[in-house]
Amino acid sequence: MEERRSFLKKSGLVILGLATVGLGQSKKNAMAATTAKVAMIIDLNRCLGCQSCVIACKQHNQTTSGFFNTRIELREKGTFPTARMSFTPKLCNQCEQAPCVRACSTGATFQLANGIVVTDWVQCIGDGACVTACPYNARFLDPESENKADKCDFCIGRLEKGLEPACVDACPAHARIFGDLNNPQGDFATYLQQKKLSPPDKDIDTGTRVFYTVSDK
Amino acid sequence: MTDSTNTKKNSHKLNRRDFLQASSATLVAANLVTPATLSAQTRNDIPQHHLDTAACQLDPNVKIVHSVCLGCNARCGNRQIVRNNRLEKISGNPFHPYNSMGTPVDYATPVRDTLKMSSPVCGKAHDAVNYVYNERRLLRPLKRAGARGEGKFEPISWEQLITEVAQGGKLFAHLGENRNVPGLNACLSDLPIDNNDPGLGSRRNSFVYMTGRLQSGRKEFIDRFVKSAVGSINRIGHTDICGLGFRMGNYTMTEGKQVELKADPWGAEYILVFGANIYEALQPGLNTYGAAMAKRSSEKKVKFTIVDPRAQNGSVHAEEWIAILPGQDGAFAMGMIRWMLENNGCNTAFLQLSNHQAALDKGHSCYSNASHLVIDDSNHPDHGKFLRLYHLQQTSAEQDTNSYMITSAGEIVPFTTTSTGQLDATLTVTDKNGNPLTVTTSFALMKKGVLAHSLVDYAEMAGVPLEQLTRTAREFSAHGQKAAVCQYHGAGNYCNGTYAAYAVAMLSTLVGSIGLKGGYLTSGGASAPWKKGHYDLKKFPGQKKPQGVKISREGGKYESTTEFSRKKQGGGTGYPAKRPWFPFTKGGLSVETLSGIDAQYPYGCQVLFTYFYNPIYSTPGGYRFTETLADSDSVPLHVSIDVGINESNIYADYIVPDVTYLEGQYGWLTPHAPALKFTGVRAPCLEPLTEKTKDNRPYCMETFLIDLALTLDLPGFGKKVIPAKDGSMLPLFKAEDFYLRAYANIAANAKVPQGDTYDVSFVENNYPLAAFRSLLSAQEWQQLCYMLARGGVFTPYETVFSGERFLHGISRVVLYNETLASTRNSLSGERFSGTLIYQPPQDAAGQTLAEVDKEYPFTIITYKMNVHTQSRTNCHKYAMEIFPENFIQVNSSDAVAFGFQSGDTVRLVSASNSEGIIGKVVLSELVRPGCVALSFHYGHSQSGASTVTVARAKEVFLGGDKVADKGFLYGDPALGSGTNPNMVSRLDPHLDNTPLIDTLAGIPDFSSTRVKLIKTDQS
Repeated sequence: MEERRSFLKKSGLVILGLATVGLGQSKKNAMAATTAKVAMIIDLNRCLGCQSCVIACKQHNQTTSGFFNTRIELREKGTFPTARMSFTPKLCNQCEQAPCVRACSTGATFQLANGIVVTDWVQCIGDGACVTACPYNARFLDPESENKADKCDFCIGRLEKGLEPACVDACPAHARIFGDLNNPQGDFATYLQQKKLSPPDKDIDTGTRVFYTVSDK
Repeated sequence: MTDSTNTKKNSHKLNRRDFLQASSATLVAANLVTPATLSAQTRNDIPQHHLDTAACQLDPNVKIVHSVCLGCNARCGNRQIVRNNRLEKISGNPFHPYNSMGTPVDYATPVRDTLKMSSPVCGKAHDAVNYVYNERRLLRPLKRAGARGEGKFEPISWEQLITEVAQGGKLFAHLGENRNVPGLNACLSDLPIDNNDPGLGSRRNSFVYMTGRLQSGRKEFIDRFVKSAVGSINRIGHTDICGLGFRMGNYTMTEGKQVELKADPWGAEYILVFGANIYEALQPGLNTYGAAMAKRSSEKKVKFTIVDPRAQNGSVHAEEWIAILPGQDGAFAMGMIRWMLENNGCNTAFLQLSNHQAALDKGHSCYSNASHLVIDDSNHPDHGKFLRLYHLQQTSAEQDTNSYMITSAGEIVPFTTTSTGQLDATLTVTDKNGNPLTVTTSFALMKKGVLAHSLVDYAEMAGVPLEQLTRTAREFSAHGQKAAVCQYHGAGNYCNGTYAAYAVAMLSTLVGSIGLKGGYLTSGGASAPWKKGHYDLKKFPGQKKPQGVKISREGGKYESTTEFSRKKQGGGTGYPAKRPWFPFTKGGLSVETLSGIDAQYPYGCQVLFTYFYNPIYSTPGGYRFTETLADSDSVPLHVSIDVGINESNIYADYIVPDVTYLEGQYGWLTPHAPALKFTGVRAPCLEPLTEKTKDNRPYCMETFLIDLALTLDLPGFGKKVIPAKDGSMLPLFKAEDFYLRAYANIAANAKVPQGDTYDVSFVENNYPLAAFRSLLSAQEWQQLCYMLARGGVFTPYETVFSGERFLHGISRVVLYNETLASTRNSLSGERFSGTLIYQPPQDAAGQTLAEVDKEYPFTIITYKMNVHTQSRTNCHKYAMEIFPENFIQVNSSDAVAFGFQSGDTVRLVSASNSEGIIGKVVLSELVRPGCVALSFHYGHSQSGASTVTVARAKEVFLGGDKVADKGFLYGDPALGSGTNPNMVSRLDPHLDNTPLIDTLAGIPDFSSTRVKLIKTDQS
């Protein structure tokens, strides 16, 4: 488990403290948002494994059947009679040092200024280099779209409209918390200040923009 | 490329895949994505395919409707987003407390301000798009074209459907069936249904209308037809398979006043969960109750322990999992109570309060009858009844049945004259004739029942370590008035489950949390009544009043029948009845209705309507009823009203297409327990997809019943049947004539504000029902728009309390139930215990099932999954994509002992089904050894899984030639994946091999089926 400070350091972020706008504000103000660094925190003490996020994602993004931009990893912890269920939602971590971006030979995969890693399907040649390069298994080649690479984009189209990602919108217990690292607000700010946050995989350092509050059970 | 992608099987898919056409159109980021610093790899354009997604509520040209979901019966709000007349996206309704863990936005918030707010709802709700556009949905009426169950149908016209169902006749002569089929007209007679027993009612009762998933709105509409227009008593629901056991515990404790109570997840400190699947199912649903528990447990405000043979998903955050033996919730609860009695774990100050005022004075909302005295003298004619004032003195109030007596400070006094009574007492009093009379308090009688077994015995019967039982009892009582149980389907849904669930319910009474914030609470109820106000929707000229006994015998008294007196006159005791009777039950006995229809007992059924109901699939042992539904003597005419062909209506003579909750199914949806008070209102977002009558009404349940009523000239439907406040009489020719007026009543009775211009235009621009606004006055419509735009009438959690006291609960609970104590088992003639006793699950002959079937090593336990509802969600594509099949979960220690591995195919065989069912094994630590866990929802043989012969099928089903051709509706084996545990459930050989039920309340048994697992190569 890591302190917030350490992951911020790891991902090379600096909190600028500049006044920028949060989500859901008017377009006029939003236009001025030049420093947003979006991120997601997933609180495993709140996730009930309900799959609402997974289904909302499928519905919004219309991913091809059998492929998922987000999934919940289901595991059994312990042995009878003290066993319990465990849930870990997984998605693209929008890495700062993204292995997929480096692996892409055509420049199709790139990072937007807000940190979201996207793929231009015009340039994508579907060779799967990015899929292989991703240490989190977050990418796939879409067989219904000439094997173009696809993955989570934090529902960037929804962000554009001032909405939260579909999975965040759908999460009943608010286990997924979305915000701007450069201008944290509300619950997102509280989590950054108070909770111990961990990266998806302690052994891999890619500067992820997805963090976890690990289960205390 | 784009052509080929467009013609793929997912051609309804949005145009995201057309990216090449739009390839040059990259959008410049406008919002969060505007670059701050451009690095070598940082660009400011979002590739188009990232933006080609489903619609959202802020898009231009979308329609937004706030409504109530029916993915299951939890009644959460939803927001339906429609683009180009197609439902594209679902989310929650920010006004609805069920979408906000109980804390919605203020009801007065302008609707426009809520559109950007996040509002969750569960996965089942999102899958509505796949439910409404299920390609196998039926659009036109079908008539059977082969033998019952053979799976052959032909489409018929609406007019033919109405005529044949109304009038009957030789309807299947062309199939070689020469019998005269009764139409509904055969049931319109006031002659006795049984000349020898007029108490059973008239021949009108030979019309039986069974309802599966029914909710308020359609329930009242159907009752208007069945009970008030035809005059049959037999509109029977399915509470029994929904979860009658736990309800009977609450029913017994509240004297039938309430059947649903749950721990308050927003106020409790400790919740003991008995058989309630809080993170996967339950009502309120997982996005309300489960989410609130998760949130508060993450904040360390509540702890919970799960008592269940399976470590359900809630185990992720539970303090502890108690892996109880199936059917032994009562043993565990009785053990806890014994520990609490012997270790000062009960709230005696609360239990001593002898009347309601005394309880109110101490800050409680309800009192118990713990101190009330019961006549405990087997020679006394009123043995088992409460001691009343008239037993002790000659009084003019001989009939005053409420004059309970208590003992206080050495005196025997009426319970209202002093605030507390002695709890644990047996004493002798002198009755009005000067004779001694032994009396005992309710508390002492309960205690006697509890002390019948030792703590060690209770722990052993429950199959848990003694230390775990006592630790749980200590923790529960330590939290006192902030501790409560949450019991649901699993607690008591088996034979003798009433006593198990009564003991579980009693835990919250004994700590005094009943009726308090953070305690054991009922629902707060509806915001306002629907039936009166601007319009009287209950009364109409010529209304019938149903008489007699239900075919399920629920509420019926066997001792009043001719059968009983005949048997008694023959020299016996009068017992046993041919099949059990259920005077003491909440009812909704679908299983005993079907068993009654099967046995033609206590009378025969002529016409059976089944609505949104799939009993063959959904009932434990439902496979037994395939014989019943195939038999034209037991079921001369069977009409199913449903959205498609399932395992049950494959046996029907006619199938009437219905609309889904996205196109109709109007209703007013009130909260489940606990606490909240609201009325959600359903508003469809789509025009009905079914075909229409010549006068443009959709084929659906309402149109069907209305047209039958008009053809048969039944009262309550047609011209001048709805009295308005102004004295006029209004017509009922279409569904909206009824429901919109009920909505207007609710809005007026709840005194919601008049909608502003935005509310009115929001409804008029978005809601298809706005086409019917002329049914209401302009003022009624404007008020209704305020309510519809917000999806109902909602109030905050805090308003249901005064301090800690719940304002909408019950005023009294009982440790001893006099009515139950006076009830006799209709098979044995023995009286039931009026207080807690321990009883294991037993069959109708009183044999303990675990003993009878002990050669079968595993007990099946079943559950619902988070992405499914019971029987109708195999068309939910997202759910099936995540979980394509279900598995037989076997504990790894059992797997070692029996030589199973994950992936093995096994046959499950029970004493009642030797052929068995096939399934795939998966090893798990989350199921108790000796149990196998299996979810519902899978293992369909119909519901799209099999090919059905239907003439002109491609014109009859929504998917047209994608799923059908001119002669067949084609099945998809993927829709039949997995295993349905109900297909192997135990039947009762003592009751004609019908599904096992409890002889007290008619509870179907979900926990006593034992099976062998036999490895097989078959798949």
